[in-house]
Amino acid sequence: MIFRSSRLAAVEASLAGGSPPLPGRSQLQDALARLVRNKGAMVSLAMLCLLIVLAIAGPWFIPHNYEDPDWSAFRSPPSLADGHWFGTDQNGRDLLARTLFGTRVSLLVALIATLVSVVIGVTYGAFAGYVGGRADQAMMRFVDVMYALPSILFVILLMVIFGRNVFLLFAAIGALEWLTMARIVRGQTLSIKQREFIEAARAAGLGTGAIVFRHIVPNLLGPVVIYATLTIPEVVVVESFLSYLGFGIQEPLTSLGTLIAEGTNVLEVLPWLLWFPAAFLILLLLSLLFIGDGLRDAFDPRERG
Amino acid sequence: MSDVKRPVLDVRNLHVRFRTSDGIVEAVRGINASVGAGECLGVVGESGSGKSQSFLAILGLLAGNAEVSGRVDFTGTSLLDLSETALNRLRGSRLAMIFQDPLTGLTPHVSIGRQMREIVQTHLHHSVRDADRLCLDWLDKVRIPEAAHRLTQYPHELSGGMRQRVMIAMAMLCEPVLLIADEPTTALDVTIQADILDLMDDLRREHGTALVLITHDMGVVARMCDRVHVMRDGEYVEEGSCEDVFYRAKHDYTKMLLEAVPRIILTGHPAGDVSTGQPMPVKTVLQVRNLCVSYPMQRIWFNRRRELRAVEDIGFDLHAGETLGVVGESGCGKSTLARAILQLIEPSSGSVKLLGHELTTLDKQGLKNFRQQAQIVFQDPLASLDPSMTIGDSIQEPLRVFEPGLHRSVRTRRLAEMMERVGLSWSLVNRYPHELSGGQNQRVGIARAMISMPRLLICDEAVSALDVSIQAQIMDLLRDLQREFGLSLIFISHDLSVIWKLSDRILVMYLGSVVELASRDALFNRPQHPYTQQLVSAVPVPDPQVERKRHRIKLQGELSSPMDAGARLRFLPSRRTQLATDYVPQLNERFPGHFVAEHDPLEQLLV
Repeated sequence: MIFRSSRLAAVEASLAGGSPPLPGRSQLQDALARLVRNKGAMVSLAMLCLLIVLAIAGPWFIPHNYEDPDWSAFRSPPSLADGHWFGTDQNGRDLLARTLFGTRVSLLVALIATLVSVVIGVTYGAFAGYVGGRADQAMMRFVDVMYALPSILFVILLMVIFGRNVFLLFAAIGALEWLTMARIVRGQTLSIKQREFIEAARAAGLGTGAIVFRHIVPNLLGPVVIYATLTIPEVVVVESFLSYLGFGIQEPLTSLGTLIAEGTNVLEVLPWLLWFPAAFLILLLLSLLFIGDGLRDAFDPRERG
Repeated sequence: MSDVKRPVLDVRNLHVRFRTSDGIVEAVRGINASVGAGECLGVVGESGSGKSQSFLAILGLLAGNAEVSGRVDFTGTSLLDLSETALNRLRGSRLAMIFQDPLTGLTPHVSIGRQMREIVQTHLHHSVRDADRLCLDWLDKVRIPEAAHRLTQYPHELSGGMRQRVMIAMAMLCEPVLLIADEPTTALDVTIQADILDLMDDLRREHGTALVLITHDMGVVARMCDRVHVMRDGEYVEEGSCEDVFYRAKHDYTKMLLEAVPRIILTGHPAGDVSTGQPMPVKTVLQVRNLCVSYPMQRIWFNRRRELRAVEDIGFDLHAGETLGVVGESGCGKSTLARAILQLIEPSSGSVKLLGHELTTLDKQGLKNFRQQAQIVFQDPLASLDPSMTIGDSIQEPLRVFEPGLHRSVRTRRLAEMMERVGLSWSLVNRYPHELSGGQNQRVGIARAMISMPRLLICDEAVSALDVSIQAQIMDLLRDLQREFGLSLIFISHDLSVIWKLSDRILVMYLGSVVELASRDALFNRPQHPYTQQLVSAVPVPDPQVERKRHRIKLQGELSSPMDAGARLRFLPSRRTQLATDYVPQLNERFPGHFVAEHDPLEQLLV
């Protein structure tokens, strides 16, 4: 919807016989332009891209596999000489390979869970806010009830019913995160609903669905994008926590959370097992947070302090 | 002010520049101005001309990214060289400012009394008791009733006019030498505007305060100012005495501004008229009968549920090609009436017939078909367009709904035709609303309303947010469209001169009811109801000689709340004494086609 403008391209200019249409700049494009000028956000974006590229392509370029032990090097500290740059763990597995693989899993969790939460949360919140009245009350009370349930219990229940499945875990996390998204979206919708262009759309004969998806959702983009970037770090942390408890990713698969959990146990003897995954996680979280902050400033330039 | 006194404020070669992310913007480019004691200087210009920025700069109130240069002499002190603390000592005591919006100008959680006392104590170091006495004194002077009680109230408890009076009282507390008023009456209704302007004029005369009046309204200038500066693009294009500017304008821009102001020309003959000489149109497009809209109020515990009656028992006919002007002050229910006619709000009772079809009982599909016939143009051109859509998409959206089978090329051709018709260049089709000016956006709003070829168009304050020159263009456009398509128009406005220019018949509303309904010339030449008479007499006329000689009708009381049952009887106090406070004044046909609500004789209602 945002980039629909390009569809009315120069072909139709001939119809009018006038000057060709000038390209317009939507508020989203303006915001992105402001984001590009934000140094902190740009450095973080570069860092995030680097992490993503490393996580996806990295494992192909190193000689070791994340699950096969190197029988000649158990518990070896980081060194450039023997090819284990990040060292190895108790089972002789290369930590660099495992960290990169773990980053890949963590990013995947973040992506899927955030997508799930955005899709459910935006649809749910926008409808609740726009329809209003009793429906809104009922829908939001349901959200409150879900909030009140301990989320871990919910995930464990899902695990018990459907068995352990990595993708189910991702979806379960997303199915918890959408609650906050729905609340934020509902609040924004309530204020957008008051604006005259919604009344104009009603006067133009549009139905509820069309108004929600054509006029409300596109205008929610700012807050949704901001909140989504802030959800990703949260999801990564939740996944780490679940893995730490033993509900998440299982051996020999791994994630940053699992690696950190294992590293913590042997902190005194094999400290590098904690350092490197922790450093990756911190870099990942910090760059996401900075990007989220940058987006917030970009979408609402007046609020910048 | 003929005596050669030293001016209170003397501004020489003032420049204001803003550093923005898009480069340096020159808001004010070298203006010179001076104002003496007891003098009123008017600064007129359209939005974005830099008129507010120049005086905010003088007070040192600009944002951090502003650079100010030049010389500002205020009774011997150079203001631009002063430190922040020295400036603070001056501001509010010898130099005061009144802003446009009286609600945002007052701190919401502090009582009126405390806000006023704070100023007195900061600048005059009075004791609490002396401070309170001074505050009370000034509230009396600005004619606020029950002043002692007001001191304990909070800003939201007062009406807009009251709040602006409090702002003026606060500005005058320390008897400033110079008072700068930035659009002091723009947010107010016309009868209240008249009161506030009179008040400021009295204060200037009694206390010899120098007054700078920043406004876009030529009528206000004509009433108040001794000298006038006309500002455009950060420069003064014309300056001179009020008479010179109004009668002997030299600059083209000034002439254009004066020309653009809609003027009410009274012919003196209620029936014979100049412009509506066409034979009476016969076909009735819209028929409204006994229309009521009420909102339930929040029930407090077990009290009886109360209702806010926003629109009460309104009925009228609208013929093909006719314009009905709906006029009334804020909160009188004009917008609610528009939305109830369009079924955007469900009426609580009554009937609305468009082309003979009853609308209030329509189902969803029927309502959709009807919407093609009746469209609306809103007040705020920017807010009424979806910010995430290009204007091309916005304009053709009704077509997608009403004629979904239309081929894209046909739709695009209709879009191009409509854009050309409302005076929008095709090159703008991919632009977003925030990239266009207010006038252009309003053209987009009109194009969107017109593209489905409606028979009825409701304009809800459609030109109120626009500058006068743009206002004139949009009104011309609406007239042309009406002539071309045989449109019936309902034109809602608080501005009588706009209504005068466009309407054939006029309906005057007060607290949800009709007080007078008549043809335009009958209404202006022979207003019957005291409220109409007050409204007509309060409109500022952009002609200094006429304006200063006019007699204004002042009635008792202010616009009261629609929740207050007795308020409806403001013009019929003789009925108030009876038990029936629910009595609704009846509408009678006093002359053929001229309906007037019951009221007491004017003499009994005057102040």
